[in-house]
Amino acid sequence: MTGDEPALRLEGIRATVPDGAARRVILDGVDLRLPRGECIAIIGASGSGKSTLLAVAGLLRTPDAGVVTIAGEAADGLRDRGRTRLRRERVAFIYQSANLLPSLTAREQLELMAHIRREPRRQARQGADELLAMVGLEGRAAQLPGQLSGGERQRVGIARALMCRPDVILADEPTASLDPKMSGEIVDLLTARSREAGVSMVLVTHEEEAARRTDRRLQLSQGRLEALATA
Amino acid sequence: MFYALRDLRRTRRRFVLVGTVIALIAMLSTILVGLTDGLVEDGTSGLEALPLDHLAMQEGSEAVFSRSTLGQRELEAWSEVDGADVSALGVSFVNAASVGGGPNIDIALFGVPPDSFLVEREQGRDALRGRPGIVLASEAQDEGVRVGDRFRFAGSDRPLPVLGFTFGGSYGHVPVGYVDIAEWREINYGSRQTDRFSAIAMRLPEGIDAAPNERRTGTALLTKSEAYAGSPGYSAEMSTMSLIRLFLLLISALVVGAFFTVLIVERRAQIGLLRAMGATGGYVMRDGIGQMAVVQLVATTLGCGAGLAVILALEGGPVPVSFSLGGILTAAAALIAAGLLGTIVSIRRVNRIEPATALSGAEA
Repeated sequence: MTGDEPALRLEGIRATVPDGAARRVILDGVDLRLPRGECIAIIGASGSGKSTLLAVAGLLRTPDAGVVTIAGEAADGLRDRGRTRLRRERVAFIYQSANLLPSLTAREQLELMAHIRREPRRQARQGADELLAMVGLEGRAAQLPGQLSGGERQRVGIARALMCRPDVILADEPTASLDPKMSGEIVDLLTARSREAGVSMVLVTHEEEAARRTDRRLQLSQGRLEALATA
Repeated sequence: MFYALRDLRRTRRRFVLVGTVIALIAMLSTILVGLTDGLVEDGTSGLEALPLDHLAMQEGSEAVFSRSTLGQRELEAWSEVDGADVSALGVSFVNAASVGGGPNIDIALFGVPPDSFLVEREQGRDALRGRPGIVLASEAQDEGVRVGDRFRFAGSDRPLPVLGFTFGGSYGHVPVGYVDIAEWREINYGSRQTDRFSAIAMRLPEGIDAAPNERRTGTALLTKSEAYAGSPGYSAEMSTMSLIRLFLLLISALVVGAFFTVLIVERRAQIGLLRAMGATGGYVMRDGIGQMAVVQLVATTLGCGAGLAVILALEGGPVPVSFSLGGILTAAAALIAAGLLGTIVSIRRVNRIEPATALSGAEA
């Protein structure tokens, strides 16, 4: 990736879903340029297509039209294996409910990331412990998801996203299941750690307060992205 | 296997049911191996114990001694083979009625010339050369027969005493009894003068061309193991056992495949998460197959161990069982292979799970 290459670029993204015999348009020519290190928020009403946009941007779903470019590499024309490789090397997700694997400890959730990337075991363990400490979970590394609170689980999710040193983090309403105080803490942690690591972030949320903590806010409405005035 | 092994360790209760079923199948399979080997031994050990490597039998007899009758002409023709040990062998099944109130027994009566290579021990030769009598397999002792007991055989009015016991095994599931071939002819044909017998027992040198002799004498040359097929019930028993074992393999593949299919459906979101994290389809499939391989290995080992304990408990009793490590290991390997085949057929479903499924959550 060259220095001026954005971490993520979406050009003319169109996505539809089946709606009876016809297809309903969810994203209608979405363009987005996310420079390296920038954290943006995308807000929108429920059903406005925020999660679809994230799925397309993270190569979880192929758009009907348009091009997704991550760290200078265009995903159109890539087959499943190439898209998986690009996702593995460049993208990390943070999910609404943390989405941790129930049978892995906090540390192992991060180590698994490294295992998938075929990184050395010892280095992975050390990196996992450092990241867990960074999100305030030192001493909780050996706990299973069922033994962690909602906020702690989401912190593990953030550490896991940072574990793969991505170019872009895509966060899908990561504070939706948390109380307002915890929600603010998590968004602050997420933006701070992303900035420290020089990682770009797209935060999808319907919470104005959370969105205000990012560099730029965009609204998804009727399948299109519009910039909102800064606060 | 990073995820698979940890998941298996922490959610092992989920695998208890399928593990138990696999273990029970492995146990049954092991017992069947023991029974099969036991039946083979019970049906053929008498023939196996004879120091021969080939048998010539009348063409078309299909290895059944009662369908084969040969004579001196055939014996002499086969005796001309350089370096061969050749002997007449008479085999028939007779009922031995006790004279004096003892038990009546069925015997596989082997008529052998006392001076032939078939009687290896000097003691045996002396016994068969001496006064007419029968040397019985030691199994007959279990039926209450003692040295000196006298038996009258169907077809002969002359009672014969038991001269002694030897390890002779059994043939066609009845104990073997050895008599001089002349006595065997008397019992079977009512005359010592005939030159007839059932088969020609041979020890042949390597690499001889037997075809000309077979054509010339109207005989078929069989190896010792080919001749086992002529033991009464042998083919039917082997076919039945093989069919049961084949069905067990099929059941094993289906059980493991069905379980794994359910597991994949249940873990759809987790698999989607792994794919979203950048794991390839191959990575997820290797993990799944590895997990099931461990379950099958552990369950099969436990099942085989339990089956082995049953075999050892039954050994020596009325049920014909026999312990053969090679047979048990082969059956276990076949079960694991069948289970893995079931897993591999089911695991293709993994590729149908979209990584976007991760957005719906994995914390089920």
